[in-house]
Amino acid sequence: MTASDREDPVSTATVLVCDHVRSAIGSAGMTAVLPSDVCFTPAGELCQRPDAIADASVPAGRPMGVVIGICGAGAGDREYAMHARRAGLDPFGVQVISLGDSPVDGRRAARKLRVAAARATAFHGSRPANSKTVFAGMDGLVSRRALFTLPPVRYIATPTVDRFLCAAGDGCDFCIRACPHDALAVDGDNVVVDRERCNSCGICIAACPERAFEFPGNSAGEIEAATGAYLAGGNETDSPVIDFVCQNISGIGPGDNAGRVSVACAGMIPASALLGAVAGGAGAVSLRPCGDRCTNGGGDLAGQRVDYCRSLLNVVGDDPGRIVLNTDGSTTAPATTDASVERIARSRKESGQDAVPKLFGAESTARAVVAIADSTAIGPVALEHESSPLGLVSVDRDSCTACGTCVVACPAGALRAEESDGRWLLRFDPSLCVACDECTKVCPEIEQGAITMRRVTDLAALREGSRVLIESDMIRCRRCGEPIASERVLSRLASMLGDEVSTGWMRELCVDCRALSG
Amino acid sequence: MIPGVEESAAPRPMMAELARLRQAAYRLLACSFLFPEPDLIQESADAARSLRDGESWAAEFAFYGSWREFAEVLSNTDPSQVTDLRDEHMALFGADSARSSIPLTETGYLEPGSLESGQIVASVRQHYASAGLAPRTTTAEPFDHLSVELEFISYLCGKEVDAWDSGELKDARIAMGRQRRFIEKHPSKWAPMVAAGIIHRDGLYARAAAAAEALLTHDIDFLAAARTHLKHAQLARGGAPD
Repeated sequence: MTASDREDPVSTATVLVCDHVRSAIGSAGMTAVLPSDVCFTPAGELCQRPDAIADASVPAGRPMGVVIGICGAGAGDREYAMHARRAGLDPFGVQVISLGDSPVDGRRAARKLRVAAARATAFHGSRPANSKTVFAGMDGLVSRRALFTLPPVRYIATPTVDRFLCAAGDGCDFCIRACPHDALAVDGDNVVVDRERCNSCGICIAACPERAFEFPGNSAGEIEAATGAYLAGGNETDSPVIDFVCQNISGIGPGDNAGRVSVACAGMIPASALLGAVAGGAGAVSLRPCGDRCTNGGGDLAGQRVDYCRSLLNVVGDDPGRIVLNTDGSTTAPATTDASVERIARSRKESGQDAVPKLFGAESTARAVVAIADSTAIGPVALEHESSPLGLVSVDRDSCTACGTCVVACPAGALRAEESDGRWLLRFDPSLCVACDECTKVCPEIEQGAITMRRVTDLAALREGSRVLIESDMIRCRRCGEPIASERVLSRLASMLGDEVSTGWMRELCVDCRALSG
Repeated sequence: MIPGVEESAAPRPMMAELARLRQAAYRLLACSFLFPEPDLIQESADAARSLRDGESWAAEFAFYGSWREFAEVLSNTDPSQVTDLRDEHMALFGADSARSSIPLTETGYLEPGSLESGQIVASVRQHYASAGLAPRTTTAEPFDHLSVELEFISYLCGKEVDAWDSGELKDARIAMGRQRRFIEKHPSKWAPMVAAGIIHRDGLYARAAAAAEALLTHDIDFLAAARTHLKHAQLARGGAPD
């Protein structure tokens, strides 16, 4: 029945709209606001006939995000999902956007569709393990005949782990610690998800420094893309307001012009996302948990993170009111400070940052903090806060033996061992430190105060970047040349054993060569 | 009206119809991994055509996409392609599937070359025996071959169909429980590895592996939800839990 208004063999997403939406926006108007890799296709009575998806010329056979823009309430998500499946599409990549009753406000509809299309381009498909089957309702008193009838089936997206990215083999277990439902466990070198326990809250996404989780519909990439689209387009009159909203909350707000980014749970939005949106040019950022009914503890997490972000904005000389926790369903947009936004926008332009900010994963917090601080031209300040997602490791040069145990234990790669000119170096990158405290737990010289970790966001350290904490000569085997241990370790051993035991032999041969030489 | 669920004008399918569809799907998938013979190809293609053109409500289920692609490829296959299919089968799975890069046996993945591989085979046989089956020792496929495991699930689905048809809710629950336990303990642990090895290729075997993974993964949740629903509903009606 229809032909694509823009044939594009490399399109990564498709926007389908009913005739009422099409006439409100106009095909030319729609193609003008959509990204170039998004295909725009009018689909007749899509608002009344979900089977019109099958008639539309949506390329099948590869992951494809699809936005369905309709007037009114439409036929319901389940119907659209079924017809999407029949059309060879992945239902988890289908966003049904209700654009209000006809006549549709074309300008507002175009803005909503543009953001949804950006989110759709970041959809990379789902695997069977991403789908959890649940029966909707039907418990309780039913007739005998009803027991023979299939109850309505719903599918909920659950996260899976990309085993190539997962760092569980290196000792990382942040997601396991963060999961409020004990749904994650280590199996070999990977984390695995127990779908029966998983509540699809996505809190693991916020905890993972490697961006290893795939969560179709609510992946880090999709949330970043939607946020980036709002930031890039603004609301045409004022600074954009980003409103991260738990998907259990319906209705609009705060403010009609707020950029609503729906997320699985408020607990899946880390501090890096709140700060990243501010650094990306948002006038204000709001985080809305669903309240007391949340079984994921999302409200508490959101509260702690917002408190940290506000404290940080205060410390770096920005307005803390730019980040708010919206727990009372307020529809008032947080105040935007245009001066701050202009500063950020200028700083972003100068640093050549791209339109889609990185809101998740390692370094995203540090990057956002430095960008905001650079815009206020603040000096070296630090914020010690119990919810700081960043930590600062320091070593005592007298008692640290440079044994490297902390390097092995560090799951985030913030502590690294290097060799240079025969010297062993312990490097620390504060932008990667996630304040897990694993380094102090394993340090054999902790009683001597060899290593300390403070939950602090230290601007000077972040600006300085990676630095050497301690170095030592490396003693090598005179036979095979392999390293034996650092000079500091051997000296420490000698001091522990005392003068009565000769320790010179330890510096001669490595363990293997000692065995060979008898 | 159930919150969050939209009522469709079409009547809901019966549990027996879905069990019948799953029985046929598992059987067809089991046949697809066997070494190709002209008769088998012809019968499978005919069955795939009839299933593909049949139940329109099947699109409601998450496995439908992969299942439809598989049925599409299989229904376009004919006996004249037997040589090509044999070459592909040999190239992918090898004559001795336990030693190929993509083995079609459970022991090939979970305990490759291990002396304890007998434990897996023993466990599989125990499941067969508990359903009253004693596999023939004269067949070419070992007991833990993907085809044999899928055929067994098909058999259990058949038991479920019988239970629904005769109105025996308790027997239906038992049959669903047997399916779930077997799927969870055996094929769901390794069929995704078969799929991961060939899913990016074209052709019948890649589509069959993807469909098997989708169906097995779906059924673990589905069978658990169905059994729980049945139990709660029976208790609410005053029936004794079984």
